[in-house]
Amino acid sequence: MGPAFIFTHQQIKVLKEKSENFQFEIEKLDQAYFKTENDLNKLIESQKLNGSNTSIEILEAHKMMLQDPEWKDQTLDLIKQGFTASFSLQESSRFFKSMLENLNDEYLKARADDIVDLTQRVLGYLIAGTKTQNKLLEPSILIAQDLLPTEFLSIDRNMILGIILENSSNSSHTAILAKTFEIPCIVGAKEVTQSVRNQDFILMDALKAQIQVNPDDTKKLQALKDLELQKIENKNLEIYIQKPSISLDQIEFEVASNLSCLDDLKIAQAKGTEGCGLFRSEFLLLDRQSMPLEHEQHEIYKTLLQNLKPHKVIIRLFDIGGDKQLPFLNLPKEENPFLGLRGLRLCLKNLDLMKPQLRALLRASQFGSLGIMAPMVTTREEVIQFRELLKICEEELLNEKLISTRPIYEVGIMVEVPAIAFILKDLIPLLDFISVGTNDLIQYLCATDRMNSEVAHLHDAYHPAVLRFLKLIAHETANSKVWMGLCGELAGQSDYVPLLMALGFKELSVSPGSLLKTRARICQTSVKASRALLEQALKAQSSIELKDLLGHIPKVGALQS
Amino acid sequence: MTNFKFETTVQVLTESGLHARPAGILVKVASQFKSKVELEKNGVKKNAKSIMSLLSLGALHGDHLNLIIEGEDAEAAEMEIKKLFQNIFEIS
Repeated sequence: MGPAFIFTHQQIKVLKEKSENFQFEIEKLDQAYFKTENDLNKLIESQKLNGSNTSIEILEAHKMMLQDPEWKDQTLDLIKQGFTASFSLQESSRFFKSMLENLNDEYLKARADDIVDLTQRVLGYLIAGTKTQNKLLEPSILIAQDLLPTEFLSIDRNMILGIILENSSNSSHTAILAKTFEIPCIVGAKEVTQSVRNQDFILMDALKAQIQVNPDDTKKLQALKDLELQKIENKNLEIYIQKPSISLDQIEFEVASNLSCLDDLKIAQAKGTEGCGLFRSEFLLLDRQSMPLEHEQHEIYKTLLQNLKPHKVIIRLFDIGGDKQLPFLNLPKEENPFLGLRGLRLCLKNLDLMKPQLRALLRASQFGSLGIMAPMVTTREEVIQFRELLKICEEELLNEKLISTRPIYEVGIMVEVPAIAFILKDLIPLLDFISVGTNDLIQYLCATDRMNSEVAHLHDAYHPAVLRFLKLIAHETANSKVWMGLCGELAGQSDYVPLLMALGFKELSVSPGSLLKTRARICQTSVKASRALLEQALKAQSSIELKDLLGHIPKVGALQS
Repeated sequence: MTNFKFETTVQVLTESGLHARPAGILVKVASQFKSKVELEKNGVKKNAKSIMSLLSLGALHGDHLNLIIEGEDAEAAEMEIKKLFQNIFEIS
């Protein structure tokens, strides 16, 4: 919440102009280079103080590109032909940009953006009067069409309350950086720079991707109160960072995190996460034009495992289909994508996609404690096929000497197709764990599209059927070697947590932001008392009844100190 | 000043090829020398002091590249750069 600040690039216009004095132009260019390098050095120093490695790496890469002799030589050549420094620089940067873009490599494409970024910086010094006035005087919400990484890093972070971007995809450097610094960020907000003016008052909710412009006083006041309460609550929760997740009657649980990329990892670690209960590996594929290679995946899985050791890291196989489509797979359009070819169904049909992932996972398994989880499982045959593929990949890797001993890891499935509950007994010999994905489960259990606002009220975690369904699963796995986890919004609902504890869920995996709330709830709850609560809750005849019953529990944060 | 010229073959042993980090390290090392340092793949020669040229070389894991160094400190440069390739770009 805060005043809007429209960030403009002032796309610097460069005219094709000749200059009489090429010595003078070269001197101008050198000075602009010198100043830009100085800026970069200053930025690097300030990032070092903040201890942000991600941004230092990006800036170091920028510096190396600025110093690139080939690029500079080409610019100098053009200047010697009689063009102005600014025109020459722009032309040479275009050349290198298209060279990198044409190489069909994700990493190099991102470097092409860096060239644009750098060119703008140097041009800013070459052309008088273009020094941008993008200086924030008060803490504001930054609104822009797009925001380049160095632009973002050169703004005092304490002044940025939030970022709203028109273009930019979630994987862009800026969005990743914003996430790392826990700055709320909304991308893809169409035409926002046209509909908002400087100093408009903005209410933004990054979690729901909602923006309100100039809300009335009551809403403002409410938001202010909410924010204040949230701050106090968050502060109170910090004592749980170091604490283990143990109930009042000394039963151990694990509160893990749902992660989508490596930058999430740092935040989760700062909150004292006990492993990762769901790594959404398909996020590695979004915004890509081609399949990620085995070794690229291997590096990422390895980093996750090493960082979270000795805790468990559960990596879900690519969950593509449904609302997540990939252009490079060329899949036919489906009438009903959520009931169609998605999750494990799709993986088993696309071994080119699945096998490199399994191989990368198996190779990474030696670096920590790994669980491999298949999404959208419907039949026992699928699980058998999945296990067979794992065996095949193991053999391959042993033969290729990429691993020296048989890898150790756990195999599990996500419970989201309701049918699974009724065949779970038959699956137990094939599995080490199950994890209930409540978001999709509720969608399938209640036959309610969770994206459709007309029926949103039916997508209700407090529907008595959901609890009774969980009870059935708990019953089927009780006294077996299979342990139960839950990854979904429900694990972040602190009033529901006691029910999950009583049901026998060992691991609750939540988004890093909800981690401490869930852990606090566990530490303040006795499993024994929760069992009595569960008995009553199972009798609830409606969502309202269940909520009433759970509402009796005092709010987390107000309790103890 | 005497000009020396050295030509030798190096193999890319980093798993991801001559990519982000290794390319950056190579540029840093090559730039310390006065000599001209070039890498050649499939007949295409690229300046090893230029990060962008190096990246565009597209050198993959297992590739054999021609390393061509020319200049007064060519001998020292050759030693350092060869070492870099042999140690898979792990700087000790």
